[in-house]
Amino acid sequence: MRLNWSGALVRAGSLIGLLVLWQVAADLAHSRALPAPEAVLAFLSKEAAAGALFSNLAVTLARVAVSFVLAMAVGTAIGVAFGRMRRLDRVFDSWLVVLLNTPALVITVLCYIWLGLTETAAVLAVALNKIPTVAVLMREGARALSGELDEMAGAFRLSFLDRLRHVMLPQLEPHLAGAARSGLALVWKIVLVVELLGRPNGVGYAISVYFQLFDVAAVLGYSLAFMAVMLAIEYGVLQPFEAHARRWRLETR
Amino acid sequence: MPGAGAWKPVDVTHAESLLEARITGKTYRRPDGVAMEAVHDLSLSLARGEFVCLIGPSGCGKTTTLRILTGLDRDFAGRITPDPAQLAIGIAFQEPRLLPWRTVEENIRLVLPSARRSMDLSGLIESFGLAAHRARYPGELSLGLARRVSLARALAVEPDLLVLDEPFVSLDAQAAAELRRCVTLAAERDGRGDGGRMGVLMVTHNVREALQLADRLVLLAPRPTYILEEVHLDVPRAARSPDWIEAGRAALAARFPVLREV
Repeated sequence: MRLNWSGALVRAGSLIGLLVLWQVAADLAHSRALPAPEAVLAFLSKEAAAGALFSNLAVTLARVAVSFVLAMAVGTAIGVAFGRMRRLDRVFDSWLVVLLNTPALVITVLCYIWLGLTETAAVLAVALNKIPTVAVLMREGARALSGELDEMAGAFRLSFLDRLRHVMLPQLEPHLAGAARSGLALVWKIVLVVELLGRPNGVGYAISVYFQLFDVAAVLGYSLAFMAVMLAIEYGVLQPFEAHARRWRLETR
Repeated sequence: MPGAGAWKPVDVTHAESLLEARITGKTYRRPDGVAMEAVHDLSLSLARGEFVCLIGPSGCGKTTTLRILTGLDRDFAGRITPDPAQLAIGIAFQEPRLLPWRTVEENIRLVLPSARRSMDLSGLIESFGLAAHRARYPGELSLGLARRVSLARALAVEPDLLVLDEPFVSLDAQAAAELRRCVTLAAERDGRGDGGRMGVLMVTHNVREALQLADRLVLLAPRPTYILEEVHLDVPRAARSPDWIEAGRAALAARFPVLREV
């Protein structure tokens, strides 16, 4: 991948501008409701030294990971099945629409009521929120699978695994990458809500505690720390994966 | 033409049979629900070492027949012996149908059984003039090159039956000539080590191409198709001059008006 230096400079400058704006606003407001950047930084270093920051981050990240993988796997399976089998799609499409339009909060509350305030309920609630969007995206991908390549694979009698790996997955990869990127953003936001409602640890729990103490520096600190982690995953893992999935395409720029 | 001197006309009566097909009927339903009969009473046999061309006007059911003969379409009335699933079949589709996300070499390697996946393909790749392109992706290739890769892939499986669906269509003269050289090379090289030889089945609507390459021409009627006539060509491939081809074409066109348009 080529680094775009002028683009990176503009982005860095714009972030610094945001920090400056924050500092100025905090100076003018002079209120507990809007702490200055340095106060947030101080909280972060104190919390990190106490160990709470990293343990909460780790717990939340684990929940994100498990529910993300679960949602991607189940959503992809459903989406591909629906995309390949028109009759199945016709029967169950409305179920997908219902689930797609159920508010995250309702799914979460119901999971906690039916399964108790457990880890399983938390992870399931997050996954259930994400599965329909993955399924819809992957259904489009499966509908676009090439019949010609499928026939070629049949004519050369490729094994099921070879067909999956060399014929189907590469066609699904752009859709998979898109679902993963939009999915990660959705999952980590919902994980915080789910933690707030029914878990005794994690970033969402920490934020709810500091909210009740009206410690805005702590709330901002936790969200900044978590955002940093998710951005690192986005740029360090998902975008390279997407670039890899598209490497065979001709440069069109 | 390399290796052309080694070519010998095949004595069809003594050659080992490769495929016997008897298709009594093939009907398909158009998207608007109307039933169309594509093939009606077509019997065809193919021997090992034989190069057969199916010729017919566009839309006469050539590709449908090909799909039945190769076992890709099993929804027909009739019988193919042996079952195509028991033969090693290499197909070069009209659209090359390469995997755009795999390199030229990976595309060829992929169709090999797993035991031979890592075998050396240099000989095959070089004989088709693909050495410089083996690490490129199909999207970077011209249609002529992509067809050559597709032909190399079909041959990589060491087929009993090589199937070519309109291999020269929409190629410029030079690319077509280059690909024809590759097809000739493939047809004349002993395809398999066990003494038998590969049979070639080529579909085309170009009589000149067929006269240039085939041992036997099978002329197909317009849809629903059946066999109008079979023509054995006894002149060795290397001895077929442009004049001979032109004379043959004119003679066929005089007898079969349906071929005049092609």
